Amino acid sequence: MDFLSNLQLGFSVAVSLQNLFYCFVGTLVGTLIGVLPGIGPLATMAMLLPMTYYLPTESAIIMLAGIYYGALYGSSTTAILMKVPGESSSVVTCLDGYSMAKQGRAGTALATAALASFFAGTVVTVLIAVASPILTRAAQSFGPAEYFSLMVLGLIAALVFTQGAPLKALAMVFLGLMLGCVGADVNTGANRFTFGVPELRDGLDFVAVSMGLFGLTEVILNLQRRGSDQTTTLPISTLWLTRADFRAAWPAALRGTGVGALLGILPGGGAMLGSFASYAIERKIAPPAANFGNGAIAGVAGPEAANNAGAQASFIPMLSLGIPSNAVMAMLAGAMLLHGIAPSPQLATAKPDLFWGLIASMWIGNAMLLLINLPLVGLWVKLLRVPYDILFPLILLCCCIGMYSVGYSFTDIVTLAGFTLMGVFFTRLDFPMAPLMLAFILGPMMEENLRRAMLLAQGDATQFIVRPVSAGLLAACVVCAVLLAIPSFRKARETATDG
Amino acid sequence: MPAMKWVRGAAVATMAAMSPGIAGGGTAYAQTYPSQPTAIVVPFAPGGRVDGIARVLAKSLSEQLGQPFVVENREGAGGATGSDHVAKSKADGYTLLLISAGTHAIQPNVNKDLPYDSIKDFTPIANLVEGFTFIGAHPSLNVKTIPELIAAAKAKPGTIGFATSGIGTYGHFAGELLQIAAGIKLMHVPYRGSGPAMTDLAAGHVPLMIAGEIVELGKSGKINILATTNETRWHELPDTPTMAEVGFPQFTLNSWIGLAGPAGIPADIVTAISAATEKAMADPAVQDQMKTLGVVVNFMGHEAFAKRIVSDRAAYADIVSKAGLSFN
Repeated sequence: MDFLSNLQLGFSVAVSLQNLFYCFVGTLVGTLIGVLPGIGPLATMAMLLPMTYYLPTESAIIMLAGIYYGALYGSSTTAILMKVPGESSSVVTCLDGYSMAKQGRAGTALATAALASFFAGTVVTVLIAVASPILTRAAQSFGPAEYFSLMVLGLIAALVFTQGAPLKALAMVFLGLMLGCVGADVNTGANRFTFGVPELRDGLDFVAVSMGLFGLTEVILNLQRRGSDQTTTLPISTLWLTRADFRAAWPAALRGTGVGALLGILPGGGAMLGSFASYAIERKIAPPAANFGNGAIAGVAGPEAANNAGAQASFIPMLSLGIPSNAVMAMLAGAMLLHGIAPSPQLATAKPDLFWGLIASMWIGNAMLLLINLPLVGLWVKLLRVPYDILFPLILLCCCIGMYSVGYSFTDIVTLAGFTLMGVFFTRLDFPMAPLMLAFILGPMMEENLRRAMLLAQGDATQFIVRPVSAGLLAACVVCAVLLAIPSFRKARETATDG
Repeated sequence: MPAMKWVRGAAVATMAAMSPGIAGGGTAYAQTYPSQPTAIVVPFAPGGRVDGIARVLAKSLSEQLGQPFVVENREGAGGATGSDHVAKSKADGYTLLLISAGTHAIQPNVNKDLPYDSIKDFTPIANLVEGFTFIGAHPSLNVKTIPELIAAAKAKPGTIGFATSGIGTYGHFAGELLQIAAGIKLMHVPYRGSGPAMTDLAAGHVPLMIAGEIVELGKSGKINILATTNETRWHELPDTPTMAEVGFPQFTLNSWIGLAGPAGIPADIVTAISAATEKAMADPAVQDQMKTLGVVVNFMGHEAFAKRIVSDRAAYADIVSKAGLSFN
């Protein structure tokens, strides 16, 4: 079979001693970078790029790709331990993952994240090897109209995150939408809400917003809670999963992989959408006993599987069409260009060594990451036993340094401080932060796609209902909205008939 | 004590190293330049075309001059963040900048809030390469040449959309020039970057795209490349005509990439860097690498380059007023 011989070629390239070494280096560096808040895989890949000039192309790309998915494994560590999302797709892991850490189950959460990510990585590697052309064609059926409907569905799903009043979540969604408006308008080039600050032309920095609203807010709230007693630590943690944990986690990982892979092939924000969608799904179908929002293991397993599946699936547009779907893929494309290989639709036939070697090394990289991360769980858990009055300045320092390293801009630090204040204020008033984050990310994309869809259809608004995929997504929106409203209708009717 | 001896030795060595600088004054700089690592700032994200060019140049300059030349990415605001950083850096030749027609000839006409002047705040050093821009069409539009496109546009004015990497990019200006020159009306569909635009082009959601990055899609046959907006044909597409060849000789779009530094770099350092750059650009290996990156080497010394920046900025201002473009 052609597919088997291709995989054989791929493994023969990937399993050479040199490529195994560079895969290990890449994934190790990636994991460490993922753990450090602020600095991300893109900057690291750029720093290591000159080192790759003298390497053969396969080794260079394998190492750089390893940094990318290694960073995802590492970023779930900070999400779980410190509520600081390393990448945008780890935001949901902050929710239940951090709750698990507070209950003394940090080790379990970390191990679950690693296992779920490995499972997803394996499945998607096979998927890429087998079904890449089909997936690409499926992804191409998504035009601006379909993206818009998908984003609307995502925003309605944000209300599913509510742990309290739906009205408060809705308020946060609108606040997120407003914050997402800051920046240059794509259709006219006008500066929106930048108040003359040139750095805001690219919008508010995601790292500043997420670190401020989640990580540093949590530091301040912890200090307020502990009051005078600064020396207590977080509860001592378990290191592995119980049988009950496994039973709860693996279906979630399975579903997360599916959702993440489907959404990951859509260029632009795939990995992140997948993890949000997986969290929403798990929350909806979880039994009340699972205690969602307060440490449900499915809330870690599903999104972690989804974000790793999405990250690996985002390789597909570049491997099959030569079009990078996000900044990291563009970096890999640039690395290929520097080695004299132009990413193009014919990459698979023109350079089968590179193509199949990269796919094989994706699986090997995931296996290595599992081997690196599982033993490290014990190490990270020991970190939690550091007294909090020593730990929190370290967290603060790492966040500030990480923030500054992104753009060397003082404006970013001011933004970080501002969002920390905002996060403290709103969290004390019981407003949920996750819908704000989701709206902040999805809102601009939703607006851009709406305007582009209308432009391309010459102002015809019926396209959203006439095009089948878009119509289906909008129907799902209506269903979700109804499902959200029914419980409150029933309650209102009951109180009315009871008199 | 041995430690004291070491410290004294280090102090002596440092003073010895500094003495040429102290004793020589101005002209000695060129002889000791470069005496420390130099940063070549790329005002775009890593992995793009400008970034690749910078890395090739940095490698060659490091080998020639014996000191590391390191690429520093400072992306943001379409190139303005990195350019601003360099404009405000020390003019000692150790902070350089890759500039393009986009950042220094187009942006000043598009963004009135730029915190620097693209001519007064910089020292042009050398023009490096010419970028290529192509006009491509999805097969569903059924046009294979520019005359066919013009006929299709005249049949349905204002409905055929052309995708670009954003407002104020070459693609945008090429599209405006095309509409003025051919007397047709198209619809500009801007995207955030070439990646999302190419995705929609390949899928057929948008019928046209004007950018440099579509060349691979054209080579593989997924789209039809109708013409290139440069003065010469692109070597990988020998059958694709230039706009001049299909009847628009006034249609030349300069999309160059060059090297610059903050205003006030001493003249001899400029000459030193320029000479090394000229040698780098003459290297056949470098020229091949540039071709893979989609650009063609075209070295110009700093005087010619300085004149070019001034005239191009005026030329783009002219297009803005002729096409009636407004950016706010």
